[in-house]
Amino acid sequence: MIYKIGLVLLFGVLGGALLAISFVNPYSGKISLSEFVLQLSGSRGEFALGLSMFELISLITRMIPIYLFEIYFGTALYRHFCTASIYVFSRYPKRIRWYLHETLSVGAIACLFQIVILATAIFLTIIRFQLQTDWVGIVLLAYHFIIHTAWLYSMTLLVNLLAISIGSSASFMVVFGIQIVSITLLGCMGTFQKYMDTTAFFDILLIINPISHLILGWHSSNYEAINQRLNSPYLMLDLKHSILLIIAFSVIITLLGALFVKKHDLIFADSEKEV
Amino acid sequence: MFIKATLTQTNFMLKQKETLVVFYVLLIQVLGNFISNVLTFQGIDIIQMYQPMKLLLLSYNRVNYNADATLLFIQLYPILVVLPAGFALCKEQQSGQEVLMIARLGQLTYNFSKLIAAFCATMIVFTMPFMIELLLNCIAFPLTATGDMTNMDIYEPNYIQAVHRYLMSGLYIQSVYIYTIIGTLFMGIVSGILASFTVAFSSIVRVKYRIILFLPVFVLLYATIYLQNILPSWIPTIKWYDYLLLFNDEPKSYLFLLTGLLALVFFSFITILLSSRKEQLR
Repeated sequence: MIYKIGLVLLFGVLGGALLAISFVNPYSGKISLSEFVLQLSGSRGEFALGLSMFELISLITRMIPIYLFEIYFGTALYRHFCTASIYVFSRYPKRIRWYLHETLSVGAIACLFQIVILATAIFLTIIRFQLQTDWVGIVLLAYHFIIHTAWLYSMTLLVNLLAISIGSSASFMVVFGIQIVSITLLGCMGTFQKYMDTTAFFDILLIINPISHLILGWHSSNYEAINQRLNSPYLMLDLKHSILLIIAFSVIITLLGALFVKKHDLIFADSEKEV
Repeated sequence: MFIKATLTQTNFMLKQKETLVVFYVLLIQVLGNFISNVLTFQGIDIIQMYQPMKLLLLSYNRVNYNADATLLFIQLYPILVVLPAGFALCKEQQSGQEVLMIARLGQLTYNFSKLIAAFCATMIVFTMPFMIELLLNCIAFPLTATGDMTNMDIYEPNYIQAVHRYLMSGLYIQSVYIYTIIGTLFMGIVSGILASFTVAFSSIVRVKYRIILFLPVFVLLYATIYLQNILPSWIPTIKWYDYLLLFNDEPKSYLFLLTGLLALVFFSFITILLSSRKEQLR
């Protein structure tokens, strides 16, 4: 456990440092907390993330710490199904209880990872620039933390659950593929918009694409002060809805995972070695 | 013995389901791009038509028009490049087949044949689909079209300056088709080197879960993008896709490219040599 926490701290500090140095660069040397959070979640300066290839590549680059976490902790649960799983589960028959305990552990590690990333990025920004704290920034930071932690947790859990059936490399490929295709579909939305008379189709695509919920700059809020800061060209997404959607998604994956783990036949135990 | 072992292993790798999946993923992307090009540019006058090679999936020139397919390729590449052959050694370590192979071939021959086979298999998989697209574009679009997607005139000084920043611009000036073929082969060679690098890494670091083997290439390729953001803007590009994609007019450093590739090749050979000296038949 201490090794795991040490690794999370290392990954988190590195990820936070890379994000802060690469993407937090205010023109004037001063940056407000709200602008800092928006830049971490995709915005370019004061402008919301656009749909061009370069901007989407910069979004993927911002998500690299998340992918690295998924690769490393994508075997957190799965490893129990590779080595002596029959022995473990014969000694510990309440599989669902065991599973919920493990998912809690993955959730806690994901939480810690996001805290370390944000703390490092804030610390480096304070050293490099003048960081001005505003209450809108604190609210946005809370939204960013909850949405990104829930997303990280659900994707890591999904890698683990799929790995039980198809092996670790294939499961990461599938989960990574889903995220990449979602990002590419964001890029295609500009093309769709050209051929559509109404914006309704565009708005639906934006809502059903999970990645768009991670980009705070594309949101709106009931609070005028927050709304003014967001300044989004795509005002269909509501911060509250996004947070609820991502949390609901995490809960659904956890429940489906419980069902899957309960019914999994342990005779076909080691998909890693394909035996 | 070494050549026979390498050929057998390359043949075996090309028949693996991961290899076929990567090949079909690339082929689907390439065909999707070709069909989209045909639908977009059908019936256009030859004077207004873009150069057919600039419509390819690997063409960076597309960013001036619509680069959704290229964006998908750039994102998937760091993962896809490992799949056809990167796990070759790790799989046999996990299943225990490695011991049988070493007993038959000897440690050094086995490891080196694996390294070269990984290079060949990945190079073939990452070259074939793009060559098919090249051929299809030659058949479907007028070969005399000269348009550039930046919509600059081909005699404009800015365009000429941009062309001189292409990798192997001399070849482009001689013949755009030879430039495209060589550029595609270069992409295949770099892909092969990256796959061999993963094999070499797995020979020295024994991993329990294959997923970890995505890390070396993934970190390496994305490090170039991160570092580019940190480095001063006057330094030539170090982003990997600026070197691998065709018709890329970002200022480049040949020294960086050669040093990077030689470092990877050197690391792979030294690592394989060192791991071959360890006795696996314990």
